Amino acid sequence: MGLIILFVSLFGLMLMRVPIAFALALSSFAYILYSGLPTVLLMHNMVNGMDSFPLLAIPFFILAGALMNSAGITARIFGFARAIVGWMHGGLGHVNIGASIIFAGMSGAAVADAGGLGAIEIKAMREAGYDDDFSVGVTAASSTIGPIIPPSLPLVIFGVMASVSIGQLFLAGIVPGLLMALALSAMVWWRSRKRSYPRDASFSPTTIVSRFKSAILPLLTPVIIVGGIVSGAFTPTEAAIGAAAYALILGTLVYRTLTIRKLAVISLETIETTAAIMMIVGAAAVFAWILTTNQVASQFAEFVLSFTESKVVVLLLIMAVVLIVGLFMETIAAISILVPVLMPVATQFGIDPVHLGIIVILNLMLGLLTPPVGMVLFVLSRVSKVPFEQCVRATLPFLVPLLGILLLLTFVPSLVLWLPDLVYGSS
Amino acid sequence: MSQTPPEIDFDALAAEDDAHFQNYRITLADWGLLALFGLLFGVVFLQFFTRYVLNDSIAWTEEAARYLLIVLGFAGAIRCQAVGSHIVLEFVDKYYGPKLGLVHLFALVVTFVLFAVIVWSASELIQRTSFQQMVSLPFPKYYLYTAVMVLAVGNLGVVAVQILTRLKQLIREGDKWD
Repeated sequence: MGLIILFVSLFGLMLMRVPIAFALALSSFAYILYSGLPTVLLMHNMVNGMDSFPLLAIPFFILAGALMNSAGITARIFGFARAIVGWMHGGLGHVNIGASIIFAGMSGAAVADAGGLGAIEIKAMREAGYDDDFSVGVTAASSTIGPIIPPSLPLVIFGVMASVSIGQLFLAGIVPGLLMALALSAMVWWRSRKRSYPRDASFSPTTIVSRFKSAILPLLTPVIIVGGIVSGAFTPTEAAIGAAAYALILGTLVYRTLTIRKLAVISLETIETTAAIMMIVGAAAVFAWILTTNQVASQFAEFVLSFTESKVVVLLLIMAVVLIVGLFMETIAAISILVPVLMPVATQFGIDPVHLGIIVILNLMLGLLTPPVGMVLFVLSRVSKVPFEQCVRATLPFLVPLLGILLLLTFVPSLVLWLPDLVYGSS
Repeated sequence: MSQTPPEIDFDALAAEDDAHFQNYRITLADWGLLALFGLLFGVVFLQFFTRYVLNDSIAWTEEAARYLLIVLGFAGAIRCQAVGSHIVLEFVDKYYGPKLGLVHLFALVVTFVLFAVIVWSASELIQRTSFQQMVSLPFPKYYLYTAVMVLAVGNLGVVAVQILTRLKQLIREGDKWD
């Protein structure tokens, strides 16, 4: 009965437009009251859930990405990617994907990629005569590489919620991120041949060198972050503060585009996003605590076990549930609600938590590209002035390669686990 | 080199960006948030710096950073509430039609209740932990909980103002009170 109160009030409140964090906290509180537990447990669990050193990576990764987005750094990255892959069929499509890979190594959110880099990419593709449908589709789909290649906000949240090493999760994202890029590139190549899109420019080593020089300082950011974490020199939090400090130096001392006012605005936007996430994390901790103390999740796992013992079926089931939740819910909120329920099931069936983390996040990324809550599409529609419905249709074909990669990664865990096992040793 | 595409005009891009920054309103309370964020940046950077450069990290920096992040979360939540940037299921809006105003009012009332509960629960937490000390900082732990409680009261205030504004608006529209 208590659990019915918990879930009905949670979904009821969310549908009544109560912020997700508050719906989680209040439904958990209703459960606490119903069960006659001490009311102090609400704040005790909430503060405990927010009290975590890895969570400090969140504000600084957001800050680093936002600082890179201003200061013209994004444009330099785009220019560099253009020199490297622009000569292929459908050149700017590949440039779009390449720039997303590089930017993914600096920023941890797909929406940041779509909003900053996306605006430049779509503008350039429009000027070169590409259809809006094609430009929006590639830009939207490639922005989801951002949270798969480290750094990644969703992976930080997953790591904290599931007590999994964030360093391992970050490493595990690299190969899948590159596979996504490869699949999208194949799609771009195929469609460009059919529509005979232009090559952007002939391959020119001199251009590459000059663009590389213009982009070398920003290009060091992914080297610092990914290199630092892979080599074990940095924890994710340290990589985040390092990247933020580096971006600050680039903006103030090197490119001198960063004014006090700009820095204040960027910081305020960072604080807003951080606070919204922290509220969800805190509230989700109370919710997760209730599910754990009641062994709801382990009972759910036993229930699943009662009608199937097949790991394949369970993985498909998990992916279906995540896909549906991802359609309707923002990524961080979805992770906070899903992880406490799914983790015990995964453990029961011997699914590696690092593997689970990557496929769950990649799956949730698809939700960013589909209505009703496609955040990436909202942002792209705003920056490109292409109507939302058209953005939806434009992105649809590009979901196919992403879904293909998701299925591949779901059933071939070694693609995900190979790199972290190599660095941390097989577990 | 004739086929080389034109270089990107960095200045034009920067000018587009500038409009956004110029039109952004920064209030006095926002400077408070910025000071807190600056402090957090400083503490985490100090931790990073002492570990790598001096090879001996200052113990209190980690604990201080964690607590500052919690405080920043509750303080930033006030701004999120004021500007409406908490994460909600926005897509439900279009199904409510003319009732949307009432639904928003309901959500505000629920939020008010929650922050009242948070203030209450935090006050209990303060009483129960009155004897606890922080691990590496020379302060009692209830300082943290008190800060959280005060910020929750701040949230309560913002929501109260929003409820009143919304009520006035609904009364002005009149006909929805059936």
